[in-house]
Amino acid sequence: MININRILVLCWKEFLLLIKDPKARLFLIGPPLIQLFIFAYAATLEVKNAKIAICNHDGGQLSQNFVEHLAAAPWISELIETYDINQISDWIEKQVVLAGVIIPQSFESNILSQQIIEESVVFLYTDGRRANASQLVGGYIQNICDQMTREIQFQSVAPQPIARYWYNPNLQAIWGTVPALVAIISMLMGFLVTALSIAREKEMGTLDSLFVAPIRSFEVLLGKAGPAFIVGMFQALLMTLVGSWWMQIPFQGHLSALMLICAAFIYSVIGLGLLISCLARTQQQAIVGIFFMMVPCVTLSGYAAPIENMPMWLQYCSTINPLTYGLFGIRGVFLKNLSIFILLKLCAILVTIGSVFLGIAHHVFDNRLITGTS
Amino acid sequence: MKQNISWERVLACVYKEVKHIQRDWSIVLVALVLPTLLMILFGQALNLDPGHMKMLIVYPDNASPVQSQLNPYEFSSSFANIDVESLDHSINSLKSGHSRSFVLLQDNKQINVICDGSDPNTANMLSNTILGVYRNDLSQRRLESGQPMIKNISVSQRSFYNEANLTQWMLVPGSIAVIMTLVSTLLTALVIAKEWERGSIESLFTTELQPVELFLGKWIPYCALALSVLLLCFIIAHFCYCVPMRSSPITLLFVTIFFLYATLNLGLWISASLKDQFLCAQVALMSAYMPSFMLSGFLFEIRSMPLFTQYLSALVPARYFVPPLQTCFLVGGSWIYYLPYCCILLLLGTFFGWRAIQALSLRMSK
Repeated sequence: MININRILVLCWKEFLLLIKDPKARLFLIGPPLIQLFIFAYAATLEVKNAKIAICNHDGGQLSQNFVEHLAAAPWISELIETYDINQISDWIEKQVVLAGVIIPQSFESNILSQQIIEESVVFLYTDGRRANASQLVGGYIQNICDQMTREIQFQSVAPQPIARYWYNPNLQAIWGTVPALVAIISMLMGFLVTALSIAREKEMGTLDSLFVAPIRSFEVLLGKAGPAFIVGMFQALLMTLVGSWWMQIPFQGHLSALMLICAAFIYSVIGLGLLISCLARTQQQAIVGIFFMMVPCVTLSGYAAPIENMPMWLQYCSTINPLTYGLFGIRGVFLKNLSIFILLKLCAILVTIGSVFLGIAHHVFDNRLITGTS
Repeated sequence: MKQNISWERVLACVYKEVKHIQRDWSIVLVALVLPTLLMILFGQALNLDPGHMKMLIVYPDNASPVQSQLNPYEFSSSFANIDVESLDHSINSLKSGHSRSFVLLQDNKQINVICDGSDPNTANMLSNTILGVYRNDLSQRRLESGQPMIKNISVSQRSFYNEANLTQWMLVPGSIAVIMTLVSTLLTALVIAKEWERGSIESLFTTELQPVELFLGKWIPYCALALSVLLLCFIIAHFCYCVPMRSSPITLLFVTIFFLYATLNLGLWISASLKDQFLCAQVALMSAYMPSFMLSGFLFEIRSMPLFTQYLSALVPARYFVPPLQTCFLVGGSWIYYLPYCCILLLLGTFFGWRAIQALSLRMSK
C-alpha cells in the first residue's frame, strides 16, 4: 500500500533541497530563459547578411539588371565585384565570401536569341564546406533568375504557382524554434533535476538513511519525481509566457491544452531521468547518462531534420522518444491549435512511455540498490 | 613560499587521475561509445532531402487528373509518397501532421502549394522542391505541344571542395567539434568539483601540491583522452563516411591541441570556481555544450544571426574550431589559414587557464 503522506514528506524534502540553495535556485530559472533567448534567435537555417562575389563578363543591359537584382536581395549584405574568376575561388577558399556568381559573356545574347538550344546560364560557385548554406543560396539565386525571366518575357502564359505556409504565413523561423525549444529545454532541465537526484544521495551516502526509514522504494522514486514535475511545469510555463509575450509567437491553442501536453511530456522525461539516476553510481555518470539520452532524443525528434527522411531503423527508435511527441504536441498547441483528440492520443503515448521507464527504474532501484547487487 | 613546479608531483597527480578514469565506466562510454553514436546519428539522421515526405494533390471537384494542368506522375520522380485526396482530408492530415504539404489545383488554373509552416525549415525546402518540379513539368509540356519555350535563366551551381554537396561532409567534421567539447569541457568541469564534494581535496591540501601542479595533473590525462577520441572520430569520418582528408593529419592534430587548450582550461575553470557538481554540470552545458551546437557555425550560419548572438559566439571556442576542421578535411589549405584561429584559441585558453589557476590558488591558500 502506497502511503500518500510519506510521499508528500519526501516531496517536500526534495523540494527544499532544490530551492534552498540560492545558487541552485537561480539556476532553475536563469539557464532555461537564457538558453531560450540565445537559441531562439540563433537557430535559423536561413542565410542572411551574406557576402557574395560577382563577376560580370557580359556587361550588357540585362546582366547589369541581374546584378542590380542581386544587390537588392535582402539576404545579401555585401556584393563584391571582380573580373577575375580565380579571385572568386581564392575568396571562397579563405571564406571571405560564401558564394560567387559568374555571368558569362553570352548571357544577354542567349536570352535574346530565338533558338531553343542556347540556354542562358549563370554560374554559381559555392563553398561546399557549408553545404546547407550553399544549397539555400542556390535556391535564392534560382528565385532571382525566375523573377528576371518573368520580367523579360511579358507574355506570361502559365499561371504562376503560389506557395502558402499555413500556421506561419511569413515562414518565420523563430515561430518554429521557440515551441521546439520549450520542449527541448524542459527535457534537459527535467533530466538534470531527476538524473542527479538519486546519484547525489548515493555519492553523499544519505541514500542509506532512506533505506532504513520505513519507506518503500517506489515511494522514494515518486518523492523524487514530484518536485521535478513541479519545477518542470513551472519552467515550461515560464518559457511559454516569455515566448508568446516577448518574442510575439502567436499562441493559437488553449493554455490548458498546453499544460496537458506538458504534464504528460514531463512525466515521461522524469521516468527516463530517474532510470538514468538509478543506473548511475556517481553524479558524473549521471551527467554522462543525460548526454547519452539527450543527444539522440534531440536528433531523432524531428527538430533538426524530418523523421520521414531517416532510415527505417532510426524511425523505429524515434517512436519511443518522448521528445518526438512532446515537440509535435507543444508546437501543435502553439501554432496549429491541435484538436483535443490528437492531443489526448499524444498524451496517452507519452504516459505509456513514462510509465514503462518508471517501471524499469523501479526494478533497477530495487535490484541494484536495495539488495546491493550493484 | 613559491616553489618550482615539481614534475614528480604532477606525474603522481596524473597517475591518480588515470586511476579515477579507469574505474569509471562512464568515461569509457564518453570516450568510445558516445562519439560512435553521435557520428552515426549525425551522419544518418540529419537528412534534409524532402523526397521522402508524403505529399497530397487535391484536384478541383469536376476535373480529372488527365485534364488538369498538373501531372502527378511528374512528381513521382521527386516524391516517393504521393496521394490524390479530397480537400477536407488534406486539411486534416496537414493539421494532424500526417503530411506536410499539399498541392491545391483550382478551376481557374491557379495552383497553390500549401505547406505546414510550423516547421519552417522543412516547409521552405518542400515548397522549393515542389515549385521546381512544377517548373520542369511546365517547360516539358510546352515543348511537347509546340508552344514557344519560356527561356529560363538557369543556375549552374558548382560546390567547391564538396562536389556532390553532401550534407554529411559538412556535418561529420563539424560534429567532431561537438564531441571534443563534450569530452574536454564536460568531463573536466566535474573533476575538481567532485573532489570538493567528496572532501578528498582536503587531503590534497595537506600535501605540498601546488595549484598549478594539481591543474596540470587534471589537464594531461584528459587531454590524452580527448586526443584518443579524436583518433576514433577521424577513423569513423574517414573510413565509414568517406570524408576526404585533404590536409595532413598533423594539421588536424595541431589545430585540435589548440582547441583542447581552450576547452580543457574552460572546464577546469568552471570546476575550480564552483564547488557543486550539479551547478558545474549546468554551467558546462550552458557555456560549452549548447553553444558548440548552436553558436559554432556547425549547423547554423553565424552571419545570419542577430548581432548580439554573433558577439556572444565570439567567446565560444568551438566557433574557432569548426571552420579549421572542415577546411582540414575538405580543403587542405595553407598554414596561414589556420593561424588566426589558433591565435584566438590560444588567447581564450590562456585567459580561461589563468582564471582557473587563480580560482584554485584562492581556494587552496585558505
